Amino acid sequence: MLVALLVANDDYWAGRPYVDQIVIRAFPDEAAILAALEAGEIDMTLYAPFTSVPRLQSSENIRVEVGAPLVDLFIGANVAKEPFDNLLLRQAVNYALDRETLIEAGLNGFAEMPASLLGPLDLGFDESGREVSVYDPERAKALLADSGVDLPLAIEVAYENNRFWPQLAELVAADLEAVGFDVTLDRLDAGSFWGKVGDGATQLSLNQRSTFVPDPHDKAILMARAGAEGSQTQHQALDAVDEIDTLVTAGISTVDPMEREAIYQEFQALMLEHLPYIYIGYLTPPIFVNARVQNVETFGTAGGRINLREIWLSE
Amino acid sequence: MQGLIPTSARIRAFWRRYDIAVVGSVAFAFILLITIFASLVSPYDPMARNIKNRFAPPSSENAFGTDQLGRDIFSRVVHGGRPILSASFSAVLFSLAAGMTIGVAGGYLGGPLDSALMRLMDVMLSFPSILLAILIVATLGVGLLNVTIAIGFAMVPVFARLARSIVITLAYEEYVAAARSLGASDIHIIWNHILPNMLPPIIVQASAMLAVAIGAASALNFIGLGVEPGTPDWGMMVADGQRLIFDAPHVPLFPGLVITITVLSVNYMGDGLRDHLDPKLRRQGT
Amino acid sequence: MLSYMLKRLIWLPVVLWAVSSLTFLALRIVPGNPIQTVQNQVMDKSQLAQVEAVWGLNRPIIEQYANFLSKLIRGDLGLAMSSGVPIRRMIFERMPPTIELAIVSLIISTSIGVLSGVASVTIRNRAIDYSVRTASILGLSLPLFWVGIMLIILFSVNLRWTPTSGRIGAGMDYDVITNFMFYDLIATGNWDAFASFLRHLVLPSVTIGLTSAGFVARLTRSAMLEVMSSDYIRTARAKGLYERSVIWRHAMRNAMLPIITLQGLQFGAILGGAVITERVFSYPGMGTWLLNGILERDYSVVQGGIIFVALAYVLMNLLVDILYHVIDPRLRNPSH
Repeated sequence: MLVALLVANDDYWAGRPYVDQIVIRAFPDEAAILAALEAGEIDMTLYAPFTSVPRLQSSENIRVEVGAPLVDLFIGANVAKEPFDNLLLRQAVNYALDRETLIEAGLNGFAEMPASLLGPLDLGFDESGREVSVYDPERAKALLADSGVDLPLAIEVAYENNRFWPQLAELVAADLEAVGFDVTLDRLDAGSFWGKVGDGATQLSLNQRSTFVPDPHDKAILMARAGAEGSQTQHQALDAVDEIDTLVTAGISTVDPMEREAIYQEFQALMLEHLPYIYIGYLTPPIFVNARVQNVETFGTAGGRINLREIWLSE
Repeated sequence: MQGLIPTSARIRAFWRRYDIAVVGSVAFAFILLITIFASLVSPYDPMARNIKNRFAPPSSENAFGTDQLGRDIFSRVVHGGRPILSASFSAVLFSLAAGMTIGVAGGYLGGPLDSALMRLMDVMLSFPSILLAILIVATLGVGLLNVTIAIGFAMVPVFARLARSIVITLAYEEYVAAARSLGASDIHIIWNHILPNMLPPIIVQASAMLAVAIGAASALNFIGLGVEPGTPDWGMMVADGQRLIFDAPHVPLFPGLVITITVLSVNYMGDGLRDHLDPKLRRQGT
Repeated sequence: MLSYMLKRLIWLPVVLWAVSSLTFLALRIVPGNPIQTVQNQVMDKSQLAQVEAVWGLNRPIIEQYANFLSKLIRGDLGLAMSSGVPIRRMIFERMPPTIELAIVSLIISTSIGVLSGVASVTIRNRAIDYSVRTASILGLSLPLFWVGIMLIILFSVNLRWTPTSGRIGAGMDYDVITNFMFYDLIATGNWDAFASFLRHLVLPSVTIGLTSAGFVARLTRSAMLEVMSSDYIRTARAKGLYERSVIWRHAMRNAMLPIITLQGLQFGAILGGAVITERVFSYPGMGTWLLNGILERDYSVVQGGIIFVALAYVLMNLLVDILYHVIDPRLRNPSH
């Protein structure tokens, strides 16, 4: 099905694009996309299964580019509701995640180890977060014991029924069960998933966040009080909501990069202290292109967005 | 030596008559035993992941290979019959009990109750049964128990109609009339005269419906209305494997093969039972 | 016969009423409504209440039911709650693909089933009879969804003969007139698109056709066995008729009755099988639409979809009944 036809603009201020037109098509599923890619019917996609990458990499007419680490993958904890209104339990989840395995087996290696909400390419990125987002199952068990809840603690993990999410969810569930949670997986189609998350009806949800403009504010604004209704975490219930709000506002009240860096580092520290998000990794998405497609700029504002203006075809 | 000949001849005669039924029953009993004692049979924990060994093709270590999380497919197949088989057995028992009650009550008592019940059964039958089951699961919510209820419910009309037709025939038999004239109560007549005669065709039907129920339960688990994701279950394993058809086609292969063998053995067993218990159809051997 | 037909026609709206009422009730017994499920992230409680009022979900169930029935009688199926698209348009989009799939599957299953059933009885060869019996019980036992996936692996992934999913190639341009591609693409002479359509249709219809042929073959075989041993056929043979004439003229005519009756039931099984098959092949028909509607608890979609599936099924059974009466002269006798 044809979704859109993009035609080159001769009068574009930065110069005419190299390609004359780009046809955007919809396919019923990943298998159809993969088949069309291999048959040379399409030139580019982000949505072929990750599991096919090794085979496609050895194919002569397909190239797999790797996107920049711009998309956060994380578990959103609903802090307005039992049981994850309890910080100890959020911390237990954090230390229960074997992120190396999650990235290797759940994402076929297409992610970098996480630090916090801001990524390595964001202004003010704080490397020290990598010491919080670590795998320490013994510590997770200890935190669970300290929390005083009856074990195993029954919890629900919601996720979307597409792409890598189902496999990631099974791995997350196994990690959580290993430390004393009893996980029920809630597999939802995309519409129901966002509806349920926005309702504050989930406990933990597998989530992602990218930015539309290359500025840390784009990620930080989500944590402002104003954005709390219908967010992944219902974070208006956090103790630190005022502090976070002040920092988010401060972040765009100045243009001094040094000052902003300090503000966002404080913001990241606060996020890691309260853990409404528990980080899984920075997705470096595979971009599947036909070998004739050249100059694929993977450094877009978000890993899932590609600057099509720069592309040209070799014949 | 000579003494053995009659025995082997008898075995051969028996075999000629019941070959498929014997094969079917033995195979199904074997599958049931494996399913019940799954933990003893399976070489690995069906949930144990081995990330380094993902998508391994069948080998001496992993007879059926490994899946996307490096779990041993053979161990998962061995455990994977539990959800489907328990759901289908319970569903058949439920529909058998409910259907016979409705059929016997309607057929024996007759009148407006009978017409009302049979119209209800007609409405249920006027709808493709798998769709009816899907609709029931949609109402009750996703889960194996609800899948069981849905399949059981969808099969009720089959047993109700069969039971009713048998009751109507038997109710006019002389021995029933004789019992009634001797002052036997309805319960007594139903229990002692009607039910025993009803059993053979009902058993034949139940075995046929067991095959249908296993197919339906695996289909509902396949489309994600039954067991939780990740559970070792034949239907769910095929569903998970569909994503891997390009890269690891052995993942969906084995669980589906086992569903086929299971349903096949139940169908053969049912055919054998029918040949044996339903004299009308005997030797026709379809 | 006419009065019988009339009786059946009166029964039709009754069945549709019962099916739609049961669906209506079933969807409302459990808590949770579609608006709560499909609302987007920005909706707050007061907006939620407003939207519920628009859909009438805040009214008592009796009132909702009366409203639903009065609209239904006027042929108004409403709008899909999740997308706001009229159900009528969705039916136009989704029903033709499923009907095409069901009819092609029915043709495959009937031709394979009847031919092999007849062959197993009339060709007096134990090997053929045995193979037909084995193949048909195997057909009965194969899980539809798995057969579909295995066919995809063989024909789409390995041999690359057919596409893995969809109804027509993503790059095809074509005009939609009736949305029945057998008509639209032939009428417009769009042969490229038609070839693509057939390539997409072949695996799903073979999947359903093969798995349901076993049932047809078994029934044909037993019906033929019964007919062939009847006095009627013995008489025909005794009259010295050619064996081919005995089989096709005389035996088949009688064996047709149970086979035709079966087709009505078979059509229901195929419609049900289409839900599963459409899912395997991401085929954009009623099945995938209805299943998504069920998962999203979209009342209008489920009601509209179910009513149309029931309608198709009941009409098919009516057609079967008429055929039955046409073929069986005994039933044309007014005393029946």
